[in-house]
Amino acid sequence: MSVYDAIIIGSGAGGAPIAYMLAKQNKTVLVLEKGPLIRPQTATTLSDFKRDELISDGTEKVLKLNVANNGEPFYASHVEPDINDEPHIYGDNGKDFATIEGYTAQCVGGGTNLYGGVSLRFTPRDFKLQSFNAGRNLLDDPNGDVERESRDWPVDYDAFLPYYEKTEELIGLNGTAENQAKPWNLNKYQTPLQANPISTYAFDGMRKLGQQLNSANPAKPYRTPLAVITADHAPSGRKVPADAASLKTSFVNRYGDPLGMKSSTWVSLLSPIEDLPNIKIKPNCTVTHLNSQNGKVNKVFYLDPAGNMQGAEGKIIVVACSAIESVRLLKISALLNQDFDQRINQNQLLGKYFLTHAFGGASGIIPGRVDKSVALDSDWATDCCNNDQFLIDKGLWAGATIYNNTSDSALPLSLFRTKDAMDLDMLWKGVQYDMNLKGDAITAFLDKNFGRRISISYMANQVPQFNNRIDLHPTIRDKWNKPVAYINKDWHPHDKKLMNEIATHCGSILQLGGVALEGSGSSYQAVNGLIRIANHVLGGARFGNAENDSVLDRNCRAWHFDNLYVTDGAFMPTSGSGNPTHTIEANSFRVADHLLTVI
Amino acid sequence: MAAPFAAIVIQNDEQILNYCTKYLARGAKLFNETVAPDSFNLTTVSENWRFPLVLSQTDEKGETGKLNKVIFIWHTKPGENISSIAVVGSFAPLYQTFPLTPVTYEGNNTGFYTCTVDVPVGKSYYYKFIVNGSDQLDRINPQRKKFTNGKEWSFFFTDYYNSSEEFEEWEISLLYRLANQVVPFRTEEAQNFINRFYLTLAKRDEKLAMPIYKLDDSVGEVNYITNVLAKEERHHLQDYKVCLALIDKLLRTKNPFTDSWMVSEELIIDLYNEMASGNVPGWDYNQYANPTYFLGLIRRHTITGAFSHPKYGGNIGGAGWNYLNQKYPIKNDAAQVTGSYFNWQLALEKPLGRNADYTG
Repeated sequence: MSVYDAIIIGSGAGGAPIAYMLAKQNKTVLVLEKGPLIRPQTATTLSDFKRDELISDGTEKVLKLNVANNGEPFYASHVEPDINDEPHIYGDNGKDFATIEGYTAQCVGGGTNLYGGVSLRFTPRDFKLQSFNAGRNLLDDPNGDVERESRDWPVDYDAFLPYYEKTEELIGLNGTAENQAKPWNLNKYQTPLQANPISTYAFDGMRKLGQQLNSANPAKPYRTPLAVITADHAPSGRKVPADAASLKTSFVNRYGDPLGMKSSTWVSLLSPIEDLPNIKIKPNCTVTHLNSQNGKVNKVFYLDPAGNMQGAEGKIIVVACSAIESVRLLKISALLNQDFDQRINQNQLLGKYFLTHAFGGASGIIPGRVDKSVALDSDWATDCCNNDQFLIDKGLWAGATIYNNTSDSALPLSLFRTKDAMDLDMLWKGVQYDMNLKGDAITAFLDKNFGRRISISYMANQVPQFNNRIDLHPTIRDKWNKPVAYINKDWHPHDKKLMNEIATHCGSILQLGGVALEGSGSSYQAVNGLIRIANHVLGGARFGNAENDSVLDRNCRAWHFDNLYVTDGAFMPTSGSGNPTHTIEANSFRVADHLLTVI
Repeated sequence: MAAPFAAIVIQNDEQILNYCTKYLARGAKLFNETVAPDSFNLTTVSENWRFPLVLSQTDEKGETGKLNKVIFIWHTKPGENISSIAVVGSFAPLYQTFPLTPVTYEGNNTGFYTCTVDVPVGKSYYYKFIVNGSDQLDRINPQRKKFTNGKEWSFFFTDYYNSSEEFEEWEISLLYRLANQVVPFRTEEAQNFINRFYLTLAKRDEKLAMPIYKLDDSVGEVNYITNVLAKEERHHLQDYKVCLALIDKLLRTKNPFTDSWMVSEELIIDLYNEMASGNVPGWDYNQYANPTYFLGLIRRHTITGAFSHPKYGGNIGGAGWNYLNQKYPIKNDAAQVTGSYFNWQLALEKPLGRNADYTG
């Protein structure tokens, strides 16, 4: 194979849909994936994904890098990068930290193997936040940052709609469309499984909160869309077990699925086309840099599984490594190639406007007890804080989706290691140092918590800021001696106002549902709150209509390049009111249609 | 001639490279002129404890839990030429050499050599490589076994093993006393449950991979601890060795007439509280600065050992999980038990669990 029609770097939500569409149209495609290929089990082979709590957050490793949290323990998944080998470094008040991110996996399918599968569409409003906020006088925004920095997407919800439908069908999602605050045309969802009994409290609370916020037109709960099939899925050829309810195992969030029922991009898109003669999928291959000449990327350099440098050529190059790694790849390429540097850095926006989600929620203890080990990641969601009326009433720039978590702290080790831990970098610390929690006190702890904990989360847009950025770290290198990504970010005051508002409503949901509220809060309030909001990494190479105001054009093509596209979450100018995977996949299907007109 | 205990398995290059690339492959490929002096990650592999790879394997019934697929890997150094390479070990007669074959990628030699064998769980094995005719210990796996004749071999154990190699009896007994301070299994109710449970396991013993020992009123947390200190958290082995010795000395000073692991419950409780506070009379802070930290390790390890998958050595037969299953029953109006609030067997593989689809 001398020159592929397309080389796709990254096999997750951003890359796989394009590989799929192009390969199915007989284009020659090479997929280069840094991580391993972990297959679900078959009749004759086992999977290296397991229902084992020491797989999702394993035994202790120690951070050895020359950073401020040197010596700290971390507990990682087997499909996350080792943060001594391949860290992302975060700046916080003048010091550098390395941390687990949570959903940036390194394996074929990427984060789609690790996530709980929450697959929300963005609302029409999410695509037009600049228009919506024009002329608004928002609280906690004295400099008018929201009005100045928010951007309408160059493509709106109506253009995305058919691609959302395509994603829902091809990836394999279950959920209910009714009551979602988004226009709906075709319903491609599979039927959700019966909710876990604990979710009744969430449902009741969400229903009541919807009425409280808008009695004339109350927002009602809907079944959280999840990337888990509940019935046979014809597009991927997957068949569910005879007893589909047995898929509720609570080994969902941060677990790859040994049965392949979680709809990772491997099982839904790439595995079905693996044997086509025109596609080659290469796991364990790390792309190091790209070369370009006169605006055409003419070579992709990568390390093969043994660490030997190889090269490949493609007519179209798609970069989809997850936002931080994609920006990093582009910046390293710029260091090594002048043509690349001049073009990718034509307006200084590469790496800027890095985004995550504002997120937080509330937790509490239900009156009774349920078996939480029989659950998926979430059962009920509501858009009561995601409609225009709510945003206007509350003076907020953008909305949030709220949903309940069902499998969190369901299993014994998960319950213990997340005690007092706001996020993954605080695992085990609560239990390890709460010295009185022993013997009878542990029995009491279990009596109070086991099968009784319920939490509600929200996912909200984050105000874009120029200075929230991805750079290359000046000194720290990865295990291949390449500079690692260096992220500096801060919350905007309006983010905090929004987070406080939504977190309070999450608490209300629990109280209205009859749950003893333990507390509510947001990620910015956590110890390490600045760096911990890295669960969803987005932005850094935003798309737009004007080449002086974006890194990519409306088709995610890098300005001043003929053939370079970036299709992971880096393309987003605003982060959306929900988990990003579904929108990343839909966008990739959209870009794929465009590519089919140019290849 | 005796048949080999271990059966050779056809190698799966794709699976092997999944591990080799992430954990072993590294080195300066770009920007060679600016290699940082503290670039330990260019040369120190990640998670060396994973090697040799000890993976699940199905038996003749198609169930996991009885066999492990063990993959030996030799990673050649730059410039190292291999004319012959094999592995010998106690999983077969020692005169039987198992040749390693090269792992190729797209026709090229990757520098990885490998051999895969199926061996029974619950056991430990010693082995070494024979590279170009001379004996070599495993350069990746740090576990060693030293024999009385002074010879040293490489060493590994399979799932469901109790690795007390690195610890003496008295250390293990003392560890039990400390771990038992943490676990919730000391109530009469819990004790009754555990004893009943082990009787049930003993009757079914032929179905389980390992024999049931009297477990000193626990679910095998200390089994887990000794395993994890030999393997995944070997960096904490010295914490335990040093601190157990300090604790032994301390307790003997308090009660010179009893072995340290036999002292009264009151003395152990006092010790626990002192370690929690950080102020431990008689502790040698020059040898180990932070007894509270060590107590934290014991806590995390004990709880992990009680509730992690039994293949790691604790939670024997699922005793910890069954404790939760029994402790939180669902009762009908007539107060009869009709179910449980923790049906862990539904998701887990047979024979440990009941799931019809997931093999493990």
